Amino acid sequence: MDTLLDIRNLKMNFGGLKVTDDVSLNLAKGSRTALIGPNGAGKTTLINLIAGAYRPTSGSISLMGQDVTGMKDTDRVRLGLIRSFQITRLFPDLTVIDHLAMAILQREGRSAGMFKSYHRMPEVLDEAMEALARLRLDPLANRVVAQIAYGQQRLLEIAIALVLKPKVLLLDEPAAGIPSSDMDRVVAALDNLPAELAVLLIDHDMDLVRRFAREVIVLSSGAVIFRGTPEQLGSDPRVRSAYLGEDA
Amino acid sequence: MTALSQTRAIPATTRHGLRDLIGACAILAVGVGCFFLFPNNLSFLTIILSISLLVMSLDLVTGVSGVATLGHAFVYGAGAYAAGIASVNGVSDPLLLLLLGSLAGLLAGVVSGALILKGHGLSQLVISIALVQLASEGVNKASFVTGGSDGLAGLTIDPLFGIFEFDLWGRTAFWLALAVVLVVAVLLRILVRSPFGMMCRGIHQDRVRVRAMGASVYLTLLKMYAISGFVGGLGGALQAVATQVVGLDSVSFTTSAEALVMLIFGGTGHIFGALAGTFVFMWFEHSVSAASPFHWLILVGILLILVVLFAPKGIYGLVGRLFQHKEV
Amino acid sequence: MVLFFNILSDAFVYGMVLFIISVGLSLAMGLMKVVNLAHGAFAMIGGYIASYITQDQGMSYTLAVAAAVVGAIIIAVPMERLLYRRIYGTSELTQVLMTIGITFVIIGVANFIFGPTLKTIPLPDELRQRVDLGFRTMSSNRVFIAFCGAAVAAGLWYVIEKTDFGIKLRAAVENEKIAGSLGIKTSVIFSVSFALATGLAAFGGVIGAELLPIEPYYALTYMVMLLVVVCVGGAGSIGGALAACLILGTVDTVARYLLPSYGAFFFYFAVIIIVLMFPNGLFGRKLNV
Ligand SMILES: Nc1ncnc2c1ncn2[C@@H]1O[C@H](COP(=O)(O)OP(=O)(O)O)[C@@H](O)[C@H]1O
Ligand SMILES: [Mg+2]
Repeated sequence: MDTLLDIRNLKMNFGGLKVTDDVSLNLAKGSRTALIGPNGAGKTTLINLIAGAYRPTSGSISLMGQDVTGMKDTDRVRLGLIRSFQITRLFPDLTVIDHLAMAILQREGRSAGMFKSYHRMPEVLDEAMEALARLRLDPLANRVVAQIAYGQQRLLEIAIALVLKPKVLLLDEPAAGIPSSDMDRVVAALDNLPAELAVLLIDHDMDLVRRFAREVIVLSSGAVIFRGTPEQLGSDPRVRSAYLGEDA
Repeated sequence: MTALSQTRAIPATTRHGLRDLIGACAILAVGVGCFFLFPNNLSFLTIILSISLLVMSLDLVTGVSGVATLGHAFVYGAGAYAAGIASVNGVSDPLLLLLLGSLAGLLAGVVSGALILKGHGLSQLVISIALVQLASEGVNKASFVTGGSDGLAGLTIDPLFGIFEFDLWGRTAFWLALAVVLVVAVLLRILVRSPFGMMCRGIHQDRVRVRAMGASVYLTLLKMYAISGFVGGLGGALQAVATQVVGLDSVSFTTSAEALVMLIFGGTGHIFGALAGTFVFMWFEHSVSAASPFHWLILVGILLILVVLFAPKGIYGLVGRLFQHKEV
Repeated sequence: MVLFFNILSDAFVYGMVLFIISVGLSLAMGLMKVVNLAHGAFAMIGGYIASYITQDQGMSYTLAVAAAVVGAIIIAVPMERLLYRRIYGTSELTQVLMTIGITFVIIGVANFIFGPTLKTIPLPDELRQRVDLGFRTMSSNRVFIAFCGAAVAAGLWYVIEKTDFGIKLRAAVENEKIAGSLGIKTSVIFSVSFALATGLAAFGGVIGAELLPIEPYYALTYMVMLLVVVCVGGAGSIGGALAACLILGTVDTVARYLLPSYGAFFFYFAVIIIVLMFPNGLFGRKLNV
């Protein structure tokens, strides 16, 4: 069994609006799948459904062969299903390294410790600093998040997701808001992801998508309108009309 | 890599340790100073110390974890009445009474946390208020064990460690209270910095992010509520042991609201702020309210408005700002 | 059976008083998202003014009601501009602190000026008769209160559903930013709504004085009750506020009739159960993640 994440016929609406319309998709070990589509297509909602923030009205989600459709979001995280947020969600008053330490401690089941601060845990500090160094955030380690630039916060968002050691990683527009001068850090981080990890990447940056993805799924008005390789993408008429026709 | 992380991280720990040390010394200095300056006010000082435990305990759930509550006297009252009732029924060892009160507070903390954490925002506030009112009514009606509106008076307490009598001047009670507060304050500072405390601070700032890390918000906060209950219950028991009286006001909406006011006045989230807020506020109240309760209300009201407008981080924040100016 | 109807009619009148006082709070909390613990203090200001006009100046009840409403609004509007504006969008804790502060100041000042005594507002003769309702007689004052409650509900419904102001108000409740970008002056809407809310509070405070007596700590005594009502009804919902007031009024009245000494106990117990069952209020909109 190579399939890590298997989604079948997922449906969801907000009021009368069909936001997820019978979506099925499948991520195998080592897959690099890009999910694209115009704004409001329902990409973030799909991630919310997979991660367990929303309940689907019908359909099923299974993770490593286990049905997780009704499972709590936090339990899915423990199984290795990790997401990042399109709109950065960080702790404004905590330092950059605090975030990493918290994630590491939580991953290891040590977040309930009530006495020893992580500052006295060299192994946690080392891992956190290494994770930061990979995105060249280490000079900011002791800065409070509210005081660093938005692009740096976006990078921290990625660093947190990675340090949780995902098996399936859902990245919601990780490159949005990162200045082009820092894009190489994101590209390098994505290139260096563990090979066996399954990744679903949402992004509007087509250069990044072409470079990273082996499979592309296009979502429009909640439904999958294209599946294929990045090369097939440009010539597909439905994709053109989704991006140009309806929006124009 | 190891060298890199350590050069950056170690200053942080020593800085924290230094702050704790300064804080502990300040508490001790103020305590000892008060003992010699106001020998006739020791029982009032002891009550301040007891209430400061309630305010610190409130800081854990409100300042650190972000749960808005106007009913935290529930845990304080639980501790006070547990100690009082145990004492009436023959338990007279002061430390045992403190322990019993703390455990009752812990239980009350778990119960109130379990309910309050089901709500959010306004409903959280309302559940907390309803709980403390319910408890207050319950205590009032169960007069066969609680003494009803008269409360419990004239508790007999054995000498501390079998040696130090609880004297008329309240010296023993004062030193006991000061020691308890000192130890608790330092322990709570450590708790707030621990992985668990950091998680609670994270929940305060963004619970969605915490969930995305895989941590359960409800269970984490419930644990914090238990600890907070323990500390608040200890405060209530301390007041019972020190004054040998337990009254209905220990489990009232008014006490809860006052505790919140003192906390925000002192500055939330740093434990020491809670202490400072309690001390300054109660002292101020003690001196002004004797004149006229309505003058007192006007003064406190204006003070609160000024704090919100000009010093949202309370006394602790103000002092912190002074120090930062010096460093720059 | 007679007892049943007695309880029910008393509960209805009591619920209507709560409604008149609290519906403005519910609107304000839905609109400005501010936990205003000082709302009851404005009802108290109304009561103090009305008592001064009737008791001390010997003027008419009608004039007293009008003066109470206008007086409360005159005091409230500058407060909204100077103080409340600073706490819109801040944490509940900040709002609680500020509005408790305002409550304290109002209590202190009111009692400083008018003296800390129970304030009575003598009723005109028309409101002192007894009216035969078929199953019981009731004072005309209570009938008047019930009538006023219904009128307030109908009037608010009309303003909100049928007028231009109502459309803007609903837009602002729904989404302040979008309303602002559509050219609706939300700050004006806020001021007007705040004035409306305090005016209603003062009105309810005066006409409800027989059931909720105007005493020195009025603002604190009913602070909790008002919060509870808004929470149970769901902030921003008039129907919710009405339902909550009638339900809680009934619970409270029944408990006091049947279990006089356990009334409050039973009441708060019911509050906890209701709030746990409907954490967003009976008619409140569920907030999204
Ligand atoms: N919480 C919500 N309530 C109502 N509608 C929502 C909510 N979240 C998203 N939507 C709507 O669902 C659609 C899909 O949104 P989203 O998943 O964020 O799109 P994308 O990420 O592809 O830009 C949009 O039309 C959006 O307005
Ligand atoms: Mg999106």
